[in-house]
Amino acid sequence: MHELSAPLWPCSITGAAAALAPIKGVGVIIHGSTGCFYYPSSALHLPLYCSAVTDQDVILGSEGALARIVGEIKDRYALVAILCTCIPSITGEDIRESLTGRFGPEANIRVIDVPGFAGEYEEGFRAALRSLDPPVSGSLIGPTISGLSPLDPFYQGNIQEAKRLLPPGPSWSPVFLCTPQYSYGSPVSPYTIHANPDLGIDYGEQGGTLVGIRETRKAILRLEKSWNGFQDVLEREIPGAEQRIIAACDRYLKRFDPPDVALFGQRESMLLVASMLEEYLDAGILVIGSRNQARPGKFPVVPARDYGAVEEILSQERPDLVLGSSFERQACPEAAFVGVTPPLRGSVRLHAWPFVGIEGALVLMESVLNACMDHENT
Amino acid sequence: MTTHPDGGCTLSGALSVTTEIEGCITIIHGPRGCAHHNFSLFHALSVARRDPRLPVVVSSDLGERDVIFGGEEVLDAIIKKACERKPPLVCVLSTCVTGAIGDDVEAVCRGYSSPPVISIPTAGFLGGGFLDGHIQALKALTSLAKPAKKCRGVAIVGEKTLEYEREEHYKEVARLLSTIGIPVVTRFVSRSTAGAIARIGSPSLNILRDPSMVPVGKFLEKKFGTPYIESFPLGLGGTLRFLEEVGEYFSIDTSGAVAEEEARQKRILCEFASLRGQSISLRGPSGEPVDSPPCRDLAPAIGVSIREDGRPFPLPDPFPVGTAGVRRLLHRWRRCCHA
Repeated sequence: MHELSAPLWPCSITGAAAALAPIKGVGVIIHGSTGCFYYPSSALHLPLYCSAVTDQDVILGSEGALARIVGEIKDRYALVAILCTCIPSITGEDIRESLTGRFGPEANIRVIDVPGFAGEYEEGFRAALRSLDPPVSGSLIGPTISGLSPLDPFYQGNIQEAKRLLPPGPSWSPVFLCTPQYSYGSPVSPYTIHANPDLGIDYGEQGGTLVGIRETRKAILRLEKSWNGFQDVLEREIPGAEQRIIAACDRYLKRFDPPDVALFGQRESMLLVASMLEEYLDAGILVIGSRNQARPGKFPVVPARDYGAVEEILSQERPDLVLGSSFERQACPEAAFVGVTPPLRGSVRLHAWPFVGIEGALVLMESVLNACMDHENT
Repeated sequence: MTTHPDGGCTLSGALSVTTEIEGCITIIHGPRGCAHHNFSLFHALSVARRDPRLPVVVSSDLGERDVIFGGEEVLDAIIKKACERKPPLVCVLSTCVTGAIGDDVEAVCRGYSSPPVISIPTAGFLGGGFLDGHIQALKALTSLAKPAKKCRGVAIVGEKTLEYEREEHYKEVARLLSTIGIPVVTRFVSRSTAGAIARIGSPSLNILRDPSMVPVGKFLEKKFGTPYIESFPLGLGGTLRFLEEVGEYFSIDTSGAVAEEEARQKRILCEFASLRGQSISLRGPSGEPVDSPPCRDLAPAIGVSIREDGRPFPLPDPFPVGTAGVRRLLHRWRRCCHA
C-alpha cells in the first residue's frame, strides 16, 4: 500500500500466537527479536517464549538461541510450536532439520513460517491452526467452535456464551478450539461453527456463525437437526431476546431518529452486526471500514487498515454512531461510540462481555442504544 | 535473554523519542507489523493520558517483493511524500528486516535536506534493546543543534516518555527548580519541537532522568560542554541534596529553599503519622524482597520498619520523584497497611 499512515492491525505472528498459545499442551516460541515478542506478549496475556535472536545469531546462525529455549521448555509441553518471524524467514536457516538432529525425532516440535511481511493477523491465525492439524473424528457428538481468539476483548465472554449455549455434557462434547479447554492432539468434530467468521477454519461441514441473533438461530437450528436438545433455546430464549431488542429499539425510535452508523473491524463480523442494526433499529449503514478484506457486501465496505484511512472515512461520512476500536473513538470523539474491535483502550473492562450468541447480541444492542441515548442527551 | 523479555526493541526506544517532537513524521522502514506494534502502544498511552494527539507514524509497508529486491526505492518514495507535507522534521527508523536485507537507509536520507531527514539506525535486535534505541535517537537528534550561547537554565534530558506518570515527575522537578529560581528551558525531548532541540546546546546544566541516560549526558557534555546531574531527585534526603547540587552549579545559596522544602517534607510526614509502628517488606516485580535506598531513608522518618516479614509492598518502578513522589508513595504504603 505504501501510504502515509500508521497500521492498525497486527501482523501474522500475533495471529499465530493467538491461535496456539491458549491451547493446553502447546508451548509457543516466537523465533525472532524481542521486539516481535513484545506486542503479542503484552496483548494476549498468555505465556509465550522468545528466542531473542541477536545480530550475532543472524551472522552465525540462530539455531543455538532457538535450541536453548526449546531445551528449556520441551519437557513441559506436548508440542513446541516455533513461530518464525521476518528475520529467520529472510535468513532461510533450515532450523527444522537442525532441531530434529539435536532433540531427536521424538521431540514434538512444529516450525511455522508466519513472517509479518507476508501476511496479517488472520493469515497467521489460520496458518497456525492448519499446522496444528488436529485429528478429525466423526464419532464426536457436538460441533467444533472455531474463531475464539484471546486478542479479542470479548474472548472470555464469548467462551462463556458458547459454553452456555452448547454446554458440554456426558453425551455431548463440543470442542472449543483455541481455548484452555482444548488440549493439543484432541480430536475435533467434522462440523464447525464460527465464533468469528473472519478467523474461521473449517473442519468438515460448515455450521454457520454465532454472530448476531439471526445467525445464532440458524446455527442452532442446524444443530437441532443433527442433535436434539435445543428446543428451549429456539422456542423460548431466542424469541424472548429478540422481543426485548425490538421493544427497546421501538422505544428508542419513539423519541429519536435512527443513527447513521460507521462500523470498523473484520469484514464478515461487521457485515453481520450492520445487518442487525439495520433490522432492529432501522439504522443507516454508511460504511464498513474493514481491517482485513475489503470485498463489497450487502453494505459498502472500504479498507480501514491505517489510521489515516480511518480519519478520512470518518470525516467524509460524519456518522452519528461509530462501532469500532478505540482508534476510531479517538479519531471521532464527537460521535456516539460502541467498542467492538480490538484494541479497546481507555476504559476499565473487568466483566467478561460476550459478542457472540444471544447474550452477545443483547449486550451489543443495549450498548448501541445506551450510547445513542447518551449522545442524544448531550 | 531467552524467556519473557519484558521490553520493546531498539525501534520502540527510538520511537519513544521521535514521537514526542511536535509535527515530526516518523517513518518506520519495514513491514507493517513493526509500525502497528508501536503505534498501538502510543495509542494506549495517549488514551490513558487523555491526550487526544497521536504521533504521525508511517510504515514503508515492506512486502515479500521488497524483501527480495530491496526496499530503498520504497523508502525514497515515502520520504518524498512525507516531505511534501512540510513537517518540521522527518525521522527514519530502520527495522530488523531492512537491516537484514541491507538497505542503505542513511544514504537514502542524505538525499533530503529540507525539512531535515534524520536516519536513526534501529534495526531491532541488530542494534540492541529499548534503551539503546532511546539513546541512539537522542544522540542522532543533536545533529539539529546549532551553536548557542549558554543561558541560565537547565535542560531535562532523557525523560522516559512512555512512563504513565511522566508529567507528574516533570512537574515536581520543575517545581523544585523554581524554588531556587532556575527555569527549565528545554525538555530533550518530551513534548518538544525541532526548534527547541536546535537549542539543546544552550542550557548551562543538563538534568538526566536517571543514570541510564549517562551516555547521553556524556555525549552532550562532550559536544556542547554542558555538565549534568545524573538523576531526578528520589526520596527525602535525595530531594534536598538535589537542590543543593543544582545550586552549586549555578553558584546560588540554596539554604533557604532547602529549609523550606525540609519543612514541607515534615508536614507531609505528619499527615502519615498513623503509619508509625507498622512494618513493611519491599517487593520486586516477581514478589522477591528488594532494597531501596530512598525507602531506607524514608522508613525511620515515618516510624515504619522494613522487614522481610512485614506487609508486602510492591516497590514502585519507576520510583516516584521528589517530595511529591514521597507523598504518593506514603499513600500507597498506607493503603497497603489498610489491606
